[in-house]
Amino acid sequence: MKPVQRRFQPPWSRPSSLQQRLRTALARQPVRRNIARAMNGLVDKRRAAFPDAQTLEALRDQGQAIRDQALDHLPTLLRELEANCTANGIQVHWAETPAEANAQVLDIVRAAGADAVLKGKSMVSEEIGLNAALAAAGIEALETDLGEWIIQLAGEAPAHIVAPAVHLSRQEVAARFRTHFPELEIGEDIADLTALARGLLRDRFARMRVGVTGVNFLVAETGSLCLIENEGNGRLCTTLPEVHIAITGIEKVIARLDQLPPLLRLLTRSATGQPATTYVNLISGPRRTSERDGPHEVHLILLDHGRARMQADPEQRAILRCIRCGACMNHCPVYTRVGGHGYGTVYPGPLGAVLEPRLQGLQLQGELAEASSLCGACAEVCPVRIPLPQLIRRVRRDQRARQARPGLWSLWSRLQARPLQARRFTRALAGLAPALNVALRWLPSPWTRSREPPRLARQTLADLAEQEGFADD
Amino acid sequence: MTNARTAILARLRSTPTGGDPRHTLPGDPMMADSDELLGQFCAALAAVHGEVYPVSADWPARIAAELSAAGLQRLWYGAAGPLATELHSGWPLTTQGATTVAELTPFDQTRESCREALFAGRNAGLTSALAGIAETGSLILWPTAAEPRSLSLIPEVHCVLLERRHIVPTLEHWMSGYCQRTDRPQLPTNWLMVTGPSKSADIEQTLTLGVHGPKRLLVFVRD
Ligand code: SF4
Repeated sequence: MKPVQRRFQPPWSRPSSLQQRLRTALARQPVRRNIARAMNGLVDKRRAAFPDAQTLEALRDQGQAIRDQALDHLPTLLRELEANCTANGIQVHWAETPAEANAQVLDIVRAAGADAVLKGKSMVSEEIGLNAALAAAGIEALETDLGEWIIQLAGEAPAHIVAPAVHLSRQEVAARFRTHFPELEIGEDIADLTALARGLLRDRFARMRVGVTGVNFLVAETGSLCLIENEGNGRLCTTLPEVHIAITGIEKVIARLDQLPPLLRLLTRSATGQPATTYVNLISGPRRTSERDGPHEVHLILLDHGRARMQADPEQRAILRCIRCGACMNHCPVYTRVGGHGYGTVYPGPLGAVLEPRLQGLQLQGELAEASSLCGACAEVCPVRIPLPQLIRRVRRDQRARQARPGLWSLWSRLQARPLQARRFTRALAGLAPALNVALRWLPSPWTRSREPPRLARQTLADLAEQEGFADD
Repeated sequence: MTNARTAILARLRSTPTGGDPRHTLPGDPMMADSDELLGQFCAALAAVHGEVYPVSADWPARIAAELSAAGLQRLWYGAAGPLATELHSGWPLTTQGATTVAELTPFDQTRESCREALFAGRNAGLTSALAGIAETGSLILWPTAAEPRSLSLIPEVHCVLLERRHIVPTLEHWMSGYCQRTDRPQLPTNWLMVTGPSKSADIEQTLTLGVHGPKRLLVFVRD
């Protein structure tokens, strides 16, 4: 198939901003190479982490049941969580919108008298644009997860929800370090680059007064925040500063502590193939009277941002089961080719195609649901069995419902309602086939940009059937 | 922000459903042979780049030897922690021939000053562990006022004394044990499960040890 260059682009075939982003992403060969290599690795690691299919399926059943139970009883569990957190000394705040959540963080940071905050990896903080909101108020946000720090230096957005700097090679990381620290001698060895980050960040860890992190699970029964990580930066953010602010979506809650182990098992093995992350923390309150370390204040900000509306919809509710493992994107034929930046949203891949249109509105992000082949690979690997293709189709359906049907399609469907006229019309079209086929070849359309244009047959299907002796009934 | 709270809770729906999913214990619950568990624990810990040393009553001297070999200057420990007395009585004299022995340093101040010192110089931290998890080579830590959480976080080497009889098959086993206790103690401010030294694979998916937390994790398993 040869790509056809067309000079003229009629309005109906002009690419949307998503299409433009995807095209740019597709053209970046080195990035595509980095991402494809990393995704292949993650797919292999996940497979090796679940050697027995039967055990995995039983575990997925458990994972889904635990998350379903939590979402079915969400209002009760959130109240229970709030009561138990409060009893533990954790201050609970509720935010309906990103703006509200940002304002709450800002208030706490100001009350602590800080002009900078340490940040642990948090997708919800990306979702609400926290760093920008802090910067606008003159407060520096220092990302401390190695990958997040690298992309912060580069002024980029995360390319993956688990591995934010997955699109960069070691050479590109080194180049970014050199631009930022021209006074340092920087090689391209990964261990050296990591050691450099450790040295530069350690200095700042010892001094900052506020730490902001996300949360992996909220345990209602004990009023605890579960945070998992590999590097130790998360622990530093929750241990050293005087104030710890945890920010997360209202859907992260689970009912009981003994439901945590299967979810951790599913999450870490699906995400990176690790049997366990280096650190699993359960934070159950600020420093107690006799204690010698830990923050004096712990705040939990519970963000809605469209989640409650999804929870109230029996079909959409399923997406809130998500434990953010990233497996759906690692296995997605679209994501593995365009990477996170192609989507242009905080959550990319199949998860993003379902979530973003609900967070930001169909108007803004409904088109994301088109960036899917509906192959179903995501649903096959999702540890909590989210029917992602079904939910992507739901977005498409909702999107169609709010858009007017193009005139041509409504004509066509009206025609199909009248069989005799339809037959006559298609016969006429078949007669014009040779001429129309030439026209179709040159008709600019998004469909034919990367595909062979369809060719009309000289005889209609109905006529062919008649010739073959099929009865017309 | 009570308005936000009311509005969010009002939007949510409760769907009363039956069933209360708990975890099922993975693997064979009868597998409690202590040799097998120890073997599994050591292999799993080695796979995540942790180091295991079988020890007996001589454990303080064994730790001292490892720290000297690594050239570490101080060993921080919880002054009123469960290991303090034994550690003191078993710690070798300050100099043993040509090798210098790390200095025992208690984490005993309520001020933030310990923390500053923890960041300076070449330090190790010692903690006890409540349990070991055979399947993943993990340690369950229960930091307290007597054994602060910084000990397992800031020093470049984290040493742990684990009793062999406290190794359980999986996290599920430990968790059900804890959750089913009628006298279940309140969770500490930072309950912790540690699996190997600090690590990252953020650059080219290549594993690197010692990113922000300890670079080495030494587990001394006492029989
Ligand atoms: S949708 Fe499923 S596979 Fe994708 S990140 Fe969420 S839990 Fe993982």
